[in-house]
Amino acid sequence: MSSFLPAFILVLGGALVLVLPARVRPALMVGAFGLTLLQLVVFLDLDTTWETQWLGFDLMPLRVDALSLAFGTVFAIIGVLGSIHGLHIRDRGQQAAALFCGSGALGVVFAGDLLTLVVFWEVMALGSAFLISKGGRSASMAAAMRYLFVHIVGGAVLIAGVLWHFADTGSLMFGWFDGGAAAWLILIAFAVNAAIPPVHAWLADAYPEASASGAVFLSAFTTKTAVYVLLRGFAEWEILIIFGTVMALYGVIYAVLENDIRRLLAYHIISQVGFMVTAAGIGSQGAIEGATAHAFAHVLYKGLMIMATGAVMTAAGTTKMTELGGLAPRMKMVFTLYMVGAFSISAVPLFAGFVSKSLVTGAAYYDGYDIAALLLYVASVGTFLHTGLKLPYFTWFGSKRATPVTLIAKVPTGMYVGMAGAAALCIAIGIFPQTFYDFMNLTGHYNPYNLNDTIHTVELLVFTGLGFWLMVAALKPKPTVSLDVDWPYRHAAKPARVLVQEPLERIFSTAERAKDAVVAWTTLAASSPETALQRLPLGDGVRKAAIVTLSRPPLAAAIGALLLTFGVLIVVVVLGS
Amino acid sequence: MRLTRNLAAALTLAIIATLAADAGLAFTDKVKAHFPYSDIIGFYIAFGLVSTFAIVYGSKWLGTILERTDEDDDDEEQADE
Repeated sequence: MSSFLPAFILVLGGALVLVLPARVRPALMVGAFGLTLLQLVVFLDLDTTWETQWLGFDLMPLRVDALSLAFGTVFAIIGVLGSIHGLHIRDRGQQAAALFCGSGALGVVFAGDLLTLVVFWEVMALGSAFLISKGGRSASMAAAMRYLFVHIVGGAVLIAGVLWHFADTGSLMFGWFDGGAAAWLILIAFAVNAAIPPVHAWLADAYPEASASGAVFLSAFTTKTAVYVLLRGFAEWEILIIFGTVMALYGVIYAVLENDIRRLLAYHIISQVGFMVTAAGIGSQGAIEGATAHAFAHVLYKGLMIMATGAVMTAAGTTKMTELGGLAPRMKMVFTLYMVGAFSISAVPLFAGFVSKSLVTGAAYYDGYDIAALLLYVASVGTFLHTGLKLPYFTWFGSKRATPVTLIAKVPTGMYVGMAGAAALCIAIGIFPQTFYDFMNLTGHYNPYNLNDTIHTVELLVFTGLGFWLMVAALKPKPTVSLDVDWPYRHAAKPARVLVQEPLERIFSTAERAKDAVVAWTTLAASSPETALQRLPLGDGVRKAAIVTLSRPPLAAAIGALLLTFGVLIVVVVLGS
Repeated sequence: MRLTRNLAAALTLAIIATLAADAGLAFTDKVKAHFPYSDIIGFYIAFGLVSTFAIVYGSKWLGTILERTDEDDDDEEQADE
């Protein structure tokens, strides 16, 4: 069981979902992700590799080490929890897309060569786009097409980079890149999936349009596979420190302006991935292990928060804070479970984020990147402000509306179970950090619960709470959207129509009209030559001569035309020779 | 209203406890601090408050620069297209 690709079970599961009846498909999804988890945790040994040759290329479709195993394991865990969360779903396409998307993500993290990586990278992109398109919202298909457009461009850049790299080095093995144009192309492609500004806007555009359960898979796979490849291929590329800190702040700044709770969380994915990208740029052992631990925890707590907002969407039929509020008495359990995720992402002691985020900020400080560390602290404040205070306050409390929000549906039991599973893991990681570090095969010695760090973190959180209390009116959501860098391609249809489509249409319609006129005139000339000639813009003399010619008997006219044709041919042949 | 009072009370207690803990840190053997200036009493308190104000007002200011359209504009435009 240990020797085949971990992605294989999910590919098989996806294929079976396409043919099996609805009543077994949810269980099949849970089973496929569950078996994959079993394979990764129990049967797949560290340092396992599978090397082969294909068309003369040396390939390594399977490479297992601590880094790939950590990412693969958390993908399988969230796959199980997301499948349980979506047990009520009967949409075959959505279920298959989730499995193929998961297989793509697992294929990428266990790929030892760039060719295998590219193949699974594209599988993941297609699966994700299909998953978004099945969101069931009016804008889902358009968002999926925009997602596909961005990721096809990113995929093309990746293929170009890989081919260039192969031409330069003669190797397709995936390892650390030491610079050069090919590496930069590959980095750009990875940056697209990591949602590094300015190629980030697809994330906040697409994820909120997915279904309640579809968004859980999306939030886990695409950006975290990008984090994995950055950690493996671009560690110590210092430019990533700048990109990472910009990401961390960018997400929290945009989150202030957001009204949609799912878009707010999408911006916080960008922010949290910023911590991991910064760590990749730092590149020390502590930073890499911190980023790996943070990615693991992030998949769980972000998945939990997206599950909870999905439950709100299912029950209330909206995700806009201006239309929500006062839900706490009627959705106590969802609120409680959401807050476990919110405390985790905010790095509250005893929750998952505290034991992982502190590794990243600690590494930034100990490796001499004080400014980056300070900016990450600012981002942490923003994270608690939005996900721990603003979102829950305006969703579950803070309502002065005359009529309470109408709940249109009951939250399915599977959603509660999925959320409870993720919440239990977030708390377990927070309470037992050493067990978590051992499970992750981290080699450094970390102690997140030292007195200084714990008290300082609590100080930050409490006084962020005070700041929120003082500025709650300024944070009140408004029914608006903020322009991001996706504006050009979201609105590209109109200029494309004016600049390209309409001129082309004019050319073709002119040609069409000319053709119609010629046909009409020829028809008229056959029945009434004189009338036809009258309509031509000819001089009187020419018109009279033509009328005389056309008035001759048809045979004479035909012979005349024949002779004229032969004459022209002879002239052409003579001139040609 | 009762909830608001409870939350306000909890926040007040948390602030008092945090201030006490921060003052108490001055009398303990410290693990190496993350930043040289973090030894200053109340540094993280000020940092949390100032960061919150900076994020909120900075974002609001950016929001006035970034042209913000009504939420339904995008949907209508896409429907037209």
